[in-house]
Amino acid sequence: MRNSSTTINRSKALAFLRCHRASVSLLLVIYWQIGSLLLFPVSSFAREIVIESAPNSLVTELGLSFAGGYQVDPVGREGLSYLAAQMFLRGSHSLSAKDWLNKIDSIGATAEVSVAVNRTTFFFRFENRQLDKVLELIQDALVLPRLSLSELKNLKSETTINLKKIQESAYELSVAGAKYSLFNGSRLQYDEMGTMRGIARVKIPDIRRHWRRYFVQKNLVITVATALSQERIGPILRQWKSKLRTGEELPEQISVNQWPQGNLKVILIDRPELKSYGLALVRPGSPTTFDLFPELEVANSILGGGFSSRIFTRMRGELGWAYAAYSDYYDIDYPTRTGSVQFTYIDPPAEYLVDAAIELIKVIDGFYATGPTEGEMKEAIENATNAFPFRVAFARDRLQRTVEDIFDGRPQMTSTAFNSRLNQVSISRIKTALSKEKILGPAHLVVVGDLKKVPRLNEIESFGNSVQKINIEDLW
Amino acid sequence: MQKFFLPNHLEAHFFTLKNGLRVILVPIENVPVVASQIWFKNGAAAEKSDPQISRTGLAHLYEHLLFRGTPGFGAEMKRLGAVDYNAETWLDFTRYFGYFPAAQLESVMRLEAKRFNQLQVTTDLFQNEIGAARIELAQQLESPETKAVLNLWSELRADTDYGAPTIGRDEDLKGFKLEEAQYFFSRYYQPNQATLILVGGFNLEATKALMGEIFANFLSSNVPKDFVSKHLAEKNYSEPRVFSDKSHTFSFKHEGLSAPILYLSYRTPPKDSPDTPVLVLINYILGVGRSSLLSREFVEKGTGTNIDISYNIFRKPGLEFFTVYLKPGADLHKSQQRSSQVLDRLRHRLVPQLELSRAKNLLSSRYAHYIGDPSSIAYELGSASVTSISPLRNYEIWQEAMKVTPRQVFEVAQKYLSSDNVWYAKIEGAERK
Repeated sequence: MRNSSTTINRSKALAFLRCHRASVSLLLVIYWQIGSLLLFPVSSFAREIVIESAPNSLVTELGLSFAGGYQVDPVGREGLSYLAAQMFLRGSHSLSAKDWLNKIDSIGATAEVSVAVNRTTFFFRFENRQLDKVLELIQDALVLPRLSLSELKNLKSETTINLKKIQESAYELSVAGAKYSLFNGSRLQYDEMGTMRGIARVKIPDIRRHWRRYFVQKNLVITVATALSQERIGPILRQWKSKLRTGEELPEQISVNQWPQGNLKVILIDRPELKSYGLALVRPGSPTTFDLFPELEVANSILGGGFSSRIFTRMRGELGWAYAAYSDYYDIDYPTRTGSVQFTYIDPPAEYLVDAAIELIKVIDGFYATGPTEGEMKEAIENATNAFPFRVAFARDRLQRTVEDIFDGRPQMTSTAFNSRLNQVSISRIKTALSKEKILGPAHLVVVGDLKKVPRLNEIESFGNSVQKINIEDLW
Repeated sequence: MQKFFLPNHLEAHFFTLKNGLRVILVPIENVPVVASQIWFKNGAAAEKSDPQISRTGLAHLYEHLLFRGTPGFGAEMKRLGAVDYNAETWLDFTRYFGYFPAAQLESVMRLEAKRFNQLQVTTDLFQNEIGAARIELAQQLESPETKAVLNLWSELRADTDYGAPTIGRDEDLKGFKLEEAQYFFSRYYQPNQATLILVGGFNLEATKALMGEIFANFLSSNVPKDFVSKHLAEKNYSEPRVFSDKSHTFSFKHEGLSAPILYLSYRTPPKDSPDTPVLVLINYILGVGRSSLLSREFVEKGTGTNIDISYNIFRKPGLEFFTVYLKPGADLHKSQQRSSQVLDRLRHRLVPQLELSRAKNLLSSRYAHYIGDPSSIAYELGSASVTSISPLRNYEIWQEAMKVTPRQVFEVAQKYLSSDNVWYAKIEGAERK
C-alpha cells in the first residue's frame, strides 16, 4: 500500500576512500590476473571496546562483532555460521529460549543478529536505564548458550522458509544469479543463510565447534553508542568481556575463491510465476585497497548513482524502460580487502527487456570507452565532498566507520584528508582506473523472470560466449 | 512562533507563513546534517474523493513527476551532497523527504521550492513515468501481502476515500491524460495544505527568516484555504460493506507462495480519538516483540515464523493489520480460530500487569530511539500534521499510552476487537501453472 518513488538515491556519499597501500594492491592484482587462489588477512583487534558519546540519546546501542562470518562455513555445511549466530537468540543454560526472549522483551530491549561475509554481529538497543539487565542477559547467553536440538530444528525450519521467500523476488534472484556466476565453486556463491542441503546437514556438534572457535574474546570488537559516561560503561564492559571464553584469534589468512575468467557470460533464471523482471550486469571490481578506488567510486557515481546518473537518465528518464536503474559496489557482499563487485540493475518489463539489455551494455561500454565529462566529474566530486558530514554526523555512523576500518580495511579519514584525496581525481586518472578495472574479469548478465514471455530472448543469448540456464535448486 | 518541548527536551518551533505554509523547526546542537520533509494533505484519498478525477494512482504518479519535472533537480541535489532524497504517497498524504549537509541548507531549500514552483511536465515525461509506475505496480502485485492489504481496504473501506489502491490500477494508469494530472497538481499542491519540517544543525532565527523568504511564494494559493479539508469532510462515512461470508474472511491463492499467511484486520478510529493511545498499546500487547500474544501463540508453539504489524493510524476511520507468517502445511482455518481466541483474551479479562509493562517498555524504548533521530522526529511531526489537529499528536499518543490501565485495555478491546469489527485474509500457495 505504501509507495515510494525511484527510490533509492544511490548518490549517497561515495564510500570510504582508502589510503595508499601499493604493495597489497599489487599483490592482489597479480592474484586476479593469474586467477589463482585469493587470500586476505584478518586484522588483529587493537581496539577491543569502542565507545562513542551520544549526548541526548535516551537509548544505548551495543554491537558485538566477531570475526568470521559466513565465508568460514565448511563445504557441504553452508549456513552453519548463520545458524550458529541465530542460536544466540535461543536461550542459555539457565533460561529457555522462551524465557530469555521474554526477559529481553519485558525490558523493552531489541536483540538482532546479522552475518556478513567476514563477521557476525549481535546488536542490541535498549533504554539507558536497562544497561545492567541487558548485559546480564547477553553474558548469560554468550558464555553458556543453550544450543538445544529442538531449537536448532525450529531454526532450520524457519531458515528454510526464509530462503524460499527470497526466491519470490526478481531482485533477490538477480543477486543470487550473479553470486552463482561470479563465485561458482566457493562458499560465496550462496546466500548468507546457506543452502537447503547445507542447512539440513548442520548438527549441534557443528554449532558447538563454531561457537568455541569464533565467538571468543580475541575475535570480538564491542561498539557502544551511548549517553552514559565512558567512565561508567567502560569498566563494566571490560569486566563483562573478560568473562567470555578466551579462545584463539583467527588465522591470518582465509582462502576464498578465484575470480572467473573469459568473456561475457549470460545467466538465465526462468521464473514463470513472477510478473516483474530483473536484469543485472555484474563484473569483478577492484578492492578498496586499490590505489585508484576513489576514482572508481567517482566513476560509479556518474555511471549509476542517483537520479542524474547516466544509467538512470537513459533507462528511465529518456526511455521509460525501467523503474529502478542504478549501479554500485555494495549490493553484493564481498571481502573488500580482496575485491568488490560492480552491480548494475534495472527492472524492465518483458516487452522492453532485450532492448533494455542492449542499451544498458551500450551505456556502460560507452562510459568505459570515453570516461566522464568535466561537468559530470565535478558534480560527483562535489557530491562526495559535500556529503562527508554524513560519515561523522552521529555516534552510530562513527562506530560503523570504526567497524569497517577494523574488519574491511577501510580507514577513517578526516574531512581534510578526504578532500585532499578527492582533489587528485582527474579524468585521466578515472580513465586509467576504468581500464584497469576491465582487466579484472568479464561481465556477467543475469536475466530473471518469466522468460517465455520475453520477445527476442535469443538476441540476449547471443551476447555471451556462454549461456547458462540455472535452476532454483542450484542457487540455494 | 510557538515553542514546544519534545520528550527529550529538544525545542520544536512552529510558525505559519502568510500563504498558509506551516513550518516546524527543531534545531539540534553539534549535528552537521539536517533532515528535511515536506508533507502535503493530498494522498490517494484526495483523488478518490474528487468527482473530477475518475482514475486511481494520480497522487502517486505526481510524486514521481516532482522528481523528474524540474530540469537539473537530481543533478543539483546530488552535487549538494543530499542523501536519501525520496518521497512516498499514501492515503492521507504525499511526503518529500531527505537529508542534507547543514552547510547546504539554503541551497537545498531554494532547490526544493524551485521543484514545486517550476515543475514542467511534458507529454513524454508523463508517459515515461506512467511506464515506471506500471513496473512498480507489477512488482507490488507480486507480493501476496500487498494483494491481501489491497483486498481488505477495498472490501472494508470501499465506501470511504480509503478504498482505492494508492499506486493505482493498471487500466487507470494506462489511460491517464496530462490534463487530468495538471488538474490534480493545481488543486492539491497548495501551500496551506503543506507542512515543512527541518530537524538538525542550524541557527533558529536565521533559518526562520530564510524559510520566510524562500517559501513566501511557494506554489500558488488559488483555492480556498479549507478546500481540501472541506472537500474530504463532505464524504459520508457509513458502515463498511461486510463480506457475504459471515465469517468475515476472504481467501485467495498465490502462485509460488511457499508458506501460508494469515491477515487479521480491525477497523480503527481516527487518530484524534481518545481510544487511539489504548489501541497503540493493544497493538504492542498483541503483535510487537517475540513474547507478544500472537507471537507466543504461533511462533512459540511452532506453527508460525513471525508476526508483523502495520502501525496504521489515519486521519479518518481506517484499518489496522497483523500478519501471521505460518509454516508450510499450517492449517489456515485453525490458525484463524486461534488468532480469534487470542483477541478474545483481551476482551474477556483484564490484561495482567506484567503483560502491560512489557508492552509499555517496548513502546517506550522504540520512541526513545525515534526521538534521537532527526528524520524520525521529522516523520512523527509531519505525519501528525496531516492526520491530526495537532502536529504533536504522535508524541501525545505515546505519553498517554504509558498511562493506560488494564481496565482501559479491556474496554477498548471490547469495542474494537469484537467479532463484528475484525476481518481475516487467508493466503495459501498454489502450484505453478
